[in-house]
Amino acid sequence: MSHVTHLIQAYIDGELHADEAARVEAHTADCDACRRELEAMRNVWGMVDAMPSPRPTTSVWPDLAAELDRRRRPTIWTWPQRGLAATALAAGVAVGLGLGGQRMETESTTTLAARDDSDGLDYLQDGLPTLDQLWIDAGAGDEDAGS
Amino acid sequence: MRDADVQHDDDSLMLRIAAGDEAAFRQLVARWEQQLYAFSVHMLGSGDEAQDLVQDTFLKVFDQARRYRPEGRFRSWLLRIAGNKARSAQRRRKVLRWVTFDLADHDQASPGDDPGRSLEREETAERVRAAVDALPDRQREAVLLKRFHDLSYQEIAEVLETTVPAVESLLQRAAAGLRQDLSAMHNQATRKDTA
Repeated sequence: MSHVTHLIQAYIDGELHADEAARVEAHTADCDACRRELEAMRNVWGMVDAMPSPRPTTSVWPDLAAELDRRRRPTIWTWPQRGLAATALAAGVAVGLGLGGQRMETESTTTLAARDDSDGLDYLQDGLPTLDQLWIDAGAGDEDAGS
Repeated sequence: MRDADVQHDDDSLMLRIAAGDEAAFRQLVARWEQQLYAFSVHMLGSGDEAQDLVQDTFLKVFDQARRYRPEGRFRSWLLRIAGNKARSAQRRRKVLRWVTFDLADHDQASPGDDPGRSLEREETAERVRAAVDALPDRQREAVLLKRFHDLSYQEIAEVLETTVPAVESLLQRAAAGLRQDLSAMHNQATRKDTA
């Protein structure tokens, strides 16, 4: 008589074909060892199944909806600001090329930095903008926009 | 609702979500967030982290909706995304622990319950929880997917990106490990009671 212990897990999980399941049932009716194994496995899984299932106290939907809403909001960059940024970039490139190799004083850019924060251009107050500062990602400025 | 009907509904919702339908997305979230939360808590052991994981998973579902193929396998696809994210979080933390949520929140004794039996039930639950927590990662994940989410071996194989025989082997080894641990805990508890 060949035992069926290797089939018991799949049998408990309902993964056997009908003929294999019938074989397990017929064998465990006559074989004490395999029947004890089947009962032991059922006990173990029964204990695991009895574990309480955690339930959320709040739905994630409000946060998801807020994130989708944030993605829909227009970026801080309006077209006039993009134009100004492009101009500043061009100026930066020109300065970087050295215009004859002369070292430029960064203080010459303070005219750009003379604006107040309400323009949303406060990053320029430190002098020439870096390339990274010119290209704000979709979310970076939105914390301030419309809040 | 029959399982096939649920799968069809999920596929329909995903098609609508791919077209940008947020109402459909909301329906999908309402349908799956509890199950996803339970899975995430079991994987990460923290309600707060689980909530973040659930949110991240649903956002990925939304972002990937156009790539989803409506073949009636949304559940395994969803849990595969969540499983990948949970495993990434586990690797970052290098700590695996079972949930330590307050049992009283989830297993309220009924009025008239014997307090002694309630305490015994809590202690047993804690022992089982510790035993599952001690399982190797993939065995534990296979156990969660099978026992708590009732996935088939084929679906579990898709989530874990492995084969059906490998899934069966994971569950067999998990059962052997659980029996050993629970037996040892039972013997230890019996010795304490009789001391």
